Amino acid sequence: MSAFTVDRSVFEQDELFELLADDPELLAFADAIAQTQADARAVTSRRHGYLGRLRAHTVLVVAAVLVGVLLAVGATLAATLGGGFSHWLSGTPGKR
Amino acid sequence: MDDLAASAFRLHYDDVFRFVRRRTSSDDEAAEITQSVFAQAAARLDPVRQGSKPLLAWLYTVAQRRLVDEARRRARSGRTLPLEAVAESSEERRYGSEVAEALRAAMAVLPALQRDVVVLRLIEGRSFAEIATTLASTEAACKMRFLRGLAVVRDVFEQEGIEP
Repeated sequence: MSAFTVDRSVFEQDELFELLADDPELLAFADAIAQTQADARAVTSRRHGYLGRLRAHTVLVVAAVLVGVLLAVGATLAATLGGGFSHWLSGTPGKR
Repeated sequence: MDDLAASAFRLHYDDVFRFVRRRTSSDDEAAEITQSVFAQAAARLDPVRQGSKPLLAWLYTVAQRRLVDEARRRARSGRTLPLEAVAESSEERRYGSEVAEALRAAMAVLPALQRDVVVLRLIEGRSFAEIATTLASTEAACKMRFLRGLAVVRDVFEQEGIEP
């Protein structure tokens, strides 16, 4: 069985309804197929949405870790080079 | 209920119940909605009978609207699913995959032109006018292919013993 979802049903599409009204069983069959496919699309869309959010979160975490590592390396270099880190960066000699 | 409504009830109750049952999660809910469909039908049956729409097609349309109303009412009330409905969701997934598989099998036996029209109209929701333009054909020819193709798809489902 299929959970009912609010979607544009075959019964609300005049063109299809008029075409299939003389064969109500075929009309109901067409609606069931269309509804099942709409359900499947909705599930896929929700899954993609979840995966998209998961990927975005992963990118943010990796970026935060990279920034942290860069800051740590920078702080280590600053400590190693003393006050001369900015001079080291600009190519001028600093005091040791 | 007058004679006409009583006759419609006798003739079509089972059809409408099956239609509704496929779209609801329990027999009780389906029975409740089916009864409301016939209650509504009883009040409006005469004008329908005068009209061109076959009775069963109209009853399905009424049922469809009742299902939409019910789904909206549930969405507004934020009703939670009962435990048995949660258990049924796995059955629904299995049913969905069976339908998808039968649909793939049916599409494989359809001639290409019929398959294109069925997919574009039923799955993608394009109009026959658009489809005719896309396939360099006429609307009438596309409608004929759609009817034939859909009948073949239904036959495949029947052979597979799947009732969507």
